[in-house]
Amino acid sequence: MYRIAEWLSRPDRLAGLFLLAVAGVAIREGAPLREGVLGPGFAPLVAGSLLAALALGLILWPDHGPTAKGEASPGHRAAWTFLALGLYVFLLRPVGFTLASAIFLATLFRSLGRYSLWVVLLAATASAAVLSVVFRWGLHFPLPVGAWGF
Amino acid sequence: MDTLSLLANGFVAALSPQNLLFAFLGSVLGTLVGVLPGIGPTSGIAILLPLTAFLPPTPAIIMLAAIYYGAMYGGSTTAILVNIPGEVSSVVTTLDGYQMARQGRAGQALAIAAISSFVAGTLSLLGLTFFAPPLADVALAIGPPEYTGLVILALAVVVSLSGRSLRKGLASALLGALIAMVGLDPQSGRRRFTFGVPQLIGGIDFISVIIGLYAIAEVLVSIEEAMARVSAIPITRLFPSLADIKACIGAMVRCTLVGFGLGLLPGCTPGAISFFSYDLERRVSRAGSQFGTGAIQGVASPEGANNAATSGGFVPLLALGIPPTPALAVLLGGLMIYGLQPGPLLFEKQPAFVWTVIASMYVGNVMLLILNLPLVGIWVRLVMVPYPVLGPLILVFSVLGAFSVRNSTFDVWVALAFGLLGYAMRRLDFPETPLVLTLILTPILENSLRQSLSMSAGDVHIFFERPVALGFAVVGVVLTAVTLYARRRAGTGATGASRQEGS
Repeated sequence: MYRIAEWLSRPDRLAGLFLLAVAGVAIREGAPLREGVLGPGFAPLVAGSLLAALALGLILWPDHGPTAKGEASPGHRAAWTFLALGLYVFLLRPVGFTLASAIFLATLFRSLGRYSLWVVLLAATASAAVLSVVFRWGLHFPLPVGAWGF
Repeated sequence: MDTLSLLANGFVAALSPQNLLFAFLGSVLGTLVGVLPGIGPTSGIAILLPLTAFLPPTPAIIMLAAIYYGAMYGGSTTAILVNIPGEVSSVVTTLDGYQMARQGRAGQALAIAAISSFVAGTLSLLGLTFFAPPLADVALAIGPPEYTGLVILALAVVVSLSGRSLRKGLASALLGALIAMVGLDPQSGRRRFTFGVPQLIGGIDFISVIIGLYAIAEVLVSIEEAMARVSAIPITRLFPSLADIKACIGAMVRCTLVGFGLGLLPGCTPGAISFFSYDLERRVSRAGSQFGTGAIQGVASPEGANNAATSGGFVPLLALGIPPTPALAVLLGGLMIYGLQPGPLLFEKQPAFVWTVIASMYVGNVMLLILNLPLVGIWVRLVMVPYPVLGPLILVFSVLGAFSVRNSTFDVWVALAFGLLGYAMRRLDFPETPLVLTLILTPILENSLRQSLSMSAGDVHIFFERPVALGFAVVGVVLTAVTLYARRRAGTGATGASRQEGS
């Protein structure tokens, strides 16, 4: 078990496994469509096979680089930002662009910048309102509106 | 009609109030993109591309092109005043620019950077004006086999855009090719990689991919690096003396030639070119021994070269449809979204569009010269905006951009997925530009290859019997071989056993 974890600690090997999976899907999808060079399955099969070869190369002979354990930056801020972004997109339809943007901006201003709550709320609300005015009414973008109509 | 008449007509159109407005907006936004270290011209164009959807193609492309060359101007301001290069192409400007600022000559450094950018940018636009049309004429006699050869030539760029590891660059390119195949096959109408998801039948939207790969991934990476508060050096006197300008004339001419010449070559990014120009100037200039201590030629040379390179890059883009840099790859996608296929036919079918865009670049250069010097104080203040404020705002614009393409949250989720992919690629040293390049070129390659083989009843000899097709393919192979050789000599190739280890 320890040896498997050690083997996988090279990020290139994980990338190689991901690429191998993608290549496998490409070959599996392309195979039923194979009708010679002119068929729709030819390109996916060629690209998938070449990608599989490169992926195997990365798995077997990874480049020198940081191991997953010893990376300089653990990526917590990026993970938190991405999670907040996912929630923002999820909220776009139910609560509308303006409110979802205000919540998203307030969350990230507060968590990443550590400003006082009042400053954060004011800046986030003002930014979301300005963007809504410019894009919805100025440029006539059909931005999502929530149950409250904004 | 001759080139000068076409250019004159282009000027008439470029000077219309609407086109002037969008050239101005692009120049301002480009300078802003150049000033802010967390965002580059590629991501700037990626974010703003969908937001130009309400515009006709000409003002939209004028604005996007202005963002690209405007960013080259903006990058020098913070490099000189706060020792933070806004763009990769301005990294080398910090060497002498910041030293000049510390010696109380910040104003002169900023002015010479703007003047050199203007001179080199304008001279290389003359090169673009007179070099691109004949190149397009040569490439006009093309059918599907020649298009296949041309795309193979364009794909040779993948090798030079592969960064440190060639196999990672190739893997990125193949990933892009597979993403391009999602949706209905244009010839047989069969579904590929749709997995029963109806939204995928129309394919994966290009804008969502570039917003994810460049804008969202850029923010995720930058947000990790907490930026320290910076303080700028005050500007006392803005204009250089006549002696300063005279001392830089040689450097400006040389950097124009270097920037434009290397800018034509695929994979030579303005960042690399500015380093090369600086190094060349250090060797040939009388002030070479003072480089690194505040030599004014050390500012003029890289700043002029990166501007000349941007104009040079438009030659293969407009004449052949080959984007030599990541930002131009995104711009190529933008042109295709507007139904404009860059390449030999563009000059013939859309002369008004091409010459208006080229003329607007001359106008934009003048605007940038005027914009950069008097407004330098504002640009410097902008770099003080902390990233925890700027980053979330960029993300909101990214969501807005991805949503606005088809008013669909599905496209936003796609952008998020590619943002995650782009973040992982950056962390694992996979270049993202080959992916974007093959995403654009694979459908053209696949169609032209299948059409060519249909013409010859499946006989591959058709490619050897058509001299232009063969010529393009041979140049592509030679270019690939030369780039591989150069990589090997530079020690950046990752194919050697020394860079690998056993399992």
